[in-house]
Amino acid sequence: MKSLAALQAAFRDATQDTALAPALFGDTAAGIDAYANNILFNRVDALVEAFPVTRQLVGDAFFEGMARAAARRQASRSGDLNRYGAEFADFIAAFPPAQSLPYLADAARVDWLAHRAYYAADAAPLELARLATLDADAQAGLRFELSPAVGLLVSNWPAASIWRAHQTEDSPDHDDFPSPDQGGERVLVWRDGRRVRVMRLGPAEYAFLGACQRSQPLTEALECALDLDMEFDLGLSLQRWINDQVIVNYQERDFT
Amino acid sequence: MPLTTLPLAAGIGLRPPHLRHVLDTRPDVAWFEVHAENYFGGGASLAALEKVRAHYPISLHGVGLGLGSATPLDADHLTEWRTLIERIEPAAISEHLCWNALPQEHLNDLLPLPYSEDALDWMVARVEIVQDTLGRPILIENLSSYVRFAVDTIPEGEFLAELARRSGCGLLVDVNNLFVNHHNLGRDAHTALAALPADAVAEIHIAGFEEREDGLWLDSHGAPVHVGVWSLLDDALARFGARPVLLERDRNLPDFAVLMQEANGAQAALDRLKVNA
Repeated sequence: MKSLAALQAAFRDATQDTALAPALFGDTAAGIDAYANNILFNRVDALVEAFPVTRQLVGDAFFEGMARAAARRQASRSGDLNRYGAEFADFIAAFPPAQSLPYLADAARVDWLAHRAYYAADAAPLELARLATLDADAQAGLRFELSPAVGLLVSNWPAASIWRAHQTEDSPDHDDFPSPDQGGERVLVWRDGRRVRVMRLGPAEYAFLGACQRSQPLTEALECALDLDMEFDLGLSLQRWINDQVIVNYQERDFT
Repeated sequence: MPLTTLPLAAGIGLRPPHLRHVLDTRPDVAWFEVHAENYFGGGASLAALEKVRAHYPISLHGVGLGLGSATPLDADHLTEWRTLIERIEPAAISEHLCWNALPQEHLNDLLPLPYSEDALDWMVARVEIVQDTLGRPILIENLSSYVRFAVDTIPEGEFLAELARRSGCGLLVDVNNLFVNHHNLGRDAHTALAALPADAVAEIHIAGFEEREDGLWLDSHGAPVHVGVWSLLDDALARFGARPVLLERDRNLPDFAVLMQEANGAQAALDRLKVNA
């Protein structure tokens, strides 16, 4: 008799080729296509949930066709369907019918970062006063930690502005629809308390946060920023990012 | 720890579109059940659920652990479960008698197990790991099914009874699933009810199904509860005694008031039981 693992593999094969079903399921074999359908559409539904701006850009019918095509080719890696879709933007970038919208893949990348920001673990805010207690030496060796909700993206398209154009007018992030040709943007996605936010960053700001994300110490992160913009205002930037819960913690220099 | 501390009353499956309404109006509902995976991580959804929890007992119902999969248990998934239990302090936790993953991919559906000695041994071992990890007993729900493995050797009711006896888990009896399986697979619903040990049965689910063109019944949770399921609920309560009864609705979600009215039917069934006792 087949092992449990072999029966489960055979079950999956039968969802893809119903001719295999009668040997496994006898007179109940006709039910197998209900599972083929569920497996596909549970993934499609997850993509519909996770990529609202992408869907608005192309319309429901086009989006669902594209999502079905992706769901057939891209396996799910988790029992939590809120984690399905990490590779959808790559699929869109190579999907021939979407080539007339070259910014669509990056719009999907912002959607994905926003989706993951929504479900990211909570992180207690950092109190600015805590930083002030450190002397200059200790401050220089700090490594700032970004919130688990933070996502960074460089796009050749105005990806942040496109996302913001699809927010309701009462949202703090609402913008008018940009011209797709207005140039690239550096994008910061995070969660301000409970609300997912998307902002454009300057090159120096992006370089600084990128260095923090790679766990580089403050001195190196600052160097990255100043290389791009001698006017980069560290104090003001830190204050804003700590208040907005972009930066939520720091590690002091490890002398060991 | 008891299998459940839910009230012996009707509850409602709370879905994200109704969260706001429930927080704003505080409807007279004895308890709520939510899908655990919707509250993994943090942020707005979890914060809203914590507010609901301040006023109602909560049952956490998992749909993604895939207990019966012949693959290692997903440690991240279990960690998320444990974190959520600490935050919400639920009155019950439950999952399904099903599998959902192969070594190389997740299928993200509640897939039926063969009812064999092999599968039973595997389920017992896995339920024991989960109960040890989470530090409390879990309720396991019987599945609705569209196929039956030709190699099955154990009747569904006996499989569940043996799982409960050997692992110490509780049972969540979904009478709609028994009703659907009776139609789709010819498994007698009353035979299954008779095989289940009353002291292990800690919760009951009711829901609606839809009929496919070829006559297959799909457990869509997208329609009102069928009259035959109401009748099977009465039979289940008569057999097990009063239990927490949950109305589930996932698709074609109506206004919350419609769900409350339907859940009143379950409360009426529980009240009749008291009168007849």
